Amino acid sequence: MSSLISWAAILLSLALCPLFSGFVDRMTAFFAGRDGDGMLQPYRDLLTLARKRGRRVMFIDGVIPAGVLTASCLLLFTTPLGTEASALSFPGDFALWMVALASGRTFGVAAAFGRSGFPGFGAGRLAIRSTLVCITAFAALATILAVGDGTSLAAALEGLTGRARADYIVALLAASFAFAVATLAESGKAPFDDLAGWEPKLAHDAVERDFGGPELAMLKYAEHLKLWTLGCMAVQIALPRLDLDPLDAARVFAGLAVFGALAGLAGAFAPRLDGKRSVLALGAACALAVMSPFLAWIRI
Amino acid sequence: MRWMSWSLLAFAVGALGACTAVRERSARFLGALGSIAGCGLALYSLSLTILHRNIETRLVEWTLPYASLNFGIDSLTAFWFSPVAAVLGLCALSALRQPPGEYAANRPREHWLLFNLAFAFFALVALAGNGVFFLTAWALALAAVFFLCLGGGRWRGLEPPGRVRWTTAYFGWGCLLAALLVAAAGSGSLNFQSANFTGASSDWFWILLLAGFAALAGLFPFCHGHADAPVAVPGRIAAFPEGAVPALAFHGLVRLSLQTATPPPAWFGPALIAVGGVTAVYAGWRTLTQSDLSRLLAWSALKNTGLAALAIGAGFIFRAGERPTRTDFSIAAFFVANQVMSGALLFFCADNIRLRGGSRSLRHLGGLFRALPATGTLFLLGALWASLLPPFGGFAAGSRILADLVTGLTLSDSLADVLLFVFAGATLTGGAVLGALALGRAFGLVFFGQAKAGSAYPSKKETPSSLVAPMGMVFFGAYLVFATGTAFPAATRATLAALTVFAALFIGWRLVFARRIGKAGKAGVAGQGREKASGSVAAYSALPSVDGVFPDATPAEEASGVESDSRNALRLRFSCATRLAASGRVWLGVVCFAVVTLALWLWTR
Repeated sequence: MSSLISWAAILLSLALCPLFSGFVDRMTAFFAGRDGDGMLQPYRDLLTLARKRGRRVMFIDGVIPAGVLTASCLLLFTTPLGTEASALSFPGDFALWMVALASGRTFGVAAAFGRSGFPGFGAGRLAIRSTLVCITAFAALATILAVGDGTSLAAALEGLTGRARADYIVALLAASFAFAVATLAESGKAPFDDLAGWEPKLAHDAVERDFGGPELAMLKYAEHLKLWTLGCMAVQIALPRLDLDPLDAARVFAGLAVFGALAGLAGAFAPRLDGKRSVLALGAACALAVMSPFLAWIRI
Repeated sequence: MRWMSWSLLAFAVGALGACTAVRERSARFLGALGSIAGCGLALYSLSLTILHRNIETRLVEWTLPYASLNFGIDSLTAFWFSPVAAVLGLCALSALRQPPGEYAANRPREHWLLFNLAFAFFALVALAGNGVFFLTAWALALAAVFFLCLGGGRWRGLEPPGRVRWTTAYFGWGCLLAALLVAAAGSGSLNFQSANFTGASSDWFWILLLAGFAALAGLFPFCHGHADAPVAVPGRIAAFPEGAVPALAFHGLVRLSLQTATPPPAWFGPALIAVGGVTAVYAGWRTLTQSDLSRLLAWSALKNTGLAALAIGAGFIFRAGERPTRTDFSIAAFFVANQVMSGALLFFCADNIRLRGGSRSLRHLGGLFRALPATGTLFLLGALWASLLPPFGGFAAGSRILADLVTGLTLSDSLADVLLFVFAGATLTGGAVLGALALGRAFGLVFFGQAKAGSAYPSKKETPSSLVAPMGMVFFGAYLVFATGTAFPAATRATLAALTVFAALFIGWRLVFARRIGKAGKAGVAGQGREKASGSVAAYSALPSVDGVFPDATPAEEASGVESDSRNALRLRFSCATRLAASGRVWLGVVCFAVVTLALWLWTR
């Protein structure tokens, strides 16, 4: 039964992830006083792209979009959703979670710099950003695992009881905040979306130009799925677990709504971070995340 | 041990035959035969040791103080030396038919003499059971590899990067000599079996040991010369200094540390973790900034060397503290085995790229996947493997180490432990991500990047099978290592799930795409979608022409460079049929891979 519920949660996630991305964009537009696109716009974009004719002619060209999407799916499969363990839960599954996070970006880099007109341009800063995101995520997860006293993500989140949260409130807040910042940066949402004039924008353009039709749809869907999954994880770190399944599902959905609204708020009012400031902000988040295990160790 | 003795004899015969043969062809044949036969016998002997867990030794006393001709095989040696032997054997196989201009083709006598000697001395390093014998074998092995790496036509002097690399290696050898002198003080023997290095209670022994093996393996701050050496090394021989030397250095570190009468001091494991972590991050960062493919791969190998040192350091800590984790020297050995094989696969691919692409510079390479499809695919697999990404053994070992580091963190009872485990986990993550991104970038640039103006493009298709086949064998061996040796069965199952998703996505994409190609053909006939159709024709222009199917272009068309719509349509239909047939092979390959994975998974449950 529990397995059935976890697979149902996965199917729900697969269906709703573009909606969440549209919700974040909508919130950003709302708080900025603009009309913006509707929340269903990501679905329309995906449908339009899927109807187009593919441009790829070599079989390996399908590998990169398929690899990026597989990495996002693996991230989803290893993330506990609600009270249920993830579909691929096992002791040490957080390592696979980290690998899924990194491998998606690796395929993305291969795609971005493959056929672009500026080969290798900006790879360093893009890679440093992704590395900082991964280190931040690792340190935050290590804190959760240490506080929750579990060897898998589901067990650790289950161990984050109200008492544990009260004992380690500062450490968990630091880890949650750093994880949320990493989520926004990895998903390219505001305030990390001011990409004009720096390299990830160029990489992004290269992907948009070199891939089209169904392949670009796969890449875009993978981005939506990653934002949803990381958002779910951030919510579960921040909010205490509820015992009843329906209430717990409502907790995740409500938390995602709040997270989307906060992301929109930040996108509307926070200053856009250019290339160097973006890396600095991520570095600060990374330092905060690395400090959180020490804060947990001294029990604050 | 009997088979290993035959193996050493085969190397000796190969070396002797190569340097005494009258004709170059005979020298090539005898040298290659000695290497391949010796490698096969060594692997057979090592596999017998692993399967039956038997320990065999030979002991002959010398008149020199502390010295004896003491060598033998045990599980530790077998496990650490097997991947090195396999890789070096495949190096020999791929050197059988080197193209003209290569070292093995130009000077076969020298090449096969040094190759056999290097292999034999490496075997003796792994088998050595006495300190003096161990150091002597190391010195001879380094000398043989040094001359092998000089390559034909470079006898006037090694380039500075190579000079730094070998100077560093001999500095490490000197540190080991000093360490063994310290260890010998107070103990009457340097035989490893006696396990009585009473002098090892001194901190100096461990400092010298750390410095010596760090210099040999290329850990920070000794990594610069190591990274620059492959640029000066001809062809696939780079697998010797970049794969075999670090692996045997780590084997020696573990071997010597187990011979001490007292356990290592408390600082030794953390120091190894610190050096390894710094090396991993520094090398990962340097990997990103390279424009030479060989140097990039060397930095990537150094990144993995740093991670291996980190794993061994964690093994020391866990052994001392008896924590309930599985990170021990076995995981480190598994990690090193994967590192050696993945590094060799990537260096083999880089050599193919150099041979067909005419350059190793990322600035001059691009769009090579059409010319080198097998090499490109193997490079992608090797990059995933070396980057600790699924579904290979690097991932299994790396994730196991990461999981155990976090377990260690949860059990920590001091601030220093927390600091150490967070540092280790963060550097492991950071180094792995940086290396993965760098290899992803290199793959994209070399195989899918825009072809650069003025670059030398390959005039032929894939390199000969004699060069590609060893790469495929390395990959096959890697897959077996992963399937049989993984310490993380749950991760195997998760990887299987990921592979299933990937196969489903990829096959779905192929089905949709194949149908659309058909539509594109119809659109081309009707005069619609002309732009796409022309693009596809240009893409398929390299297909073999069939008489009667594609009539030759008229002179007017040739002059204008424009082909008629009817021939566009014909060519496109032909290419669609070819593509569909090709995609059938792809499906078959994916299905076979999935079936093999499933079978191995069921077997390892």
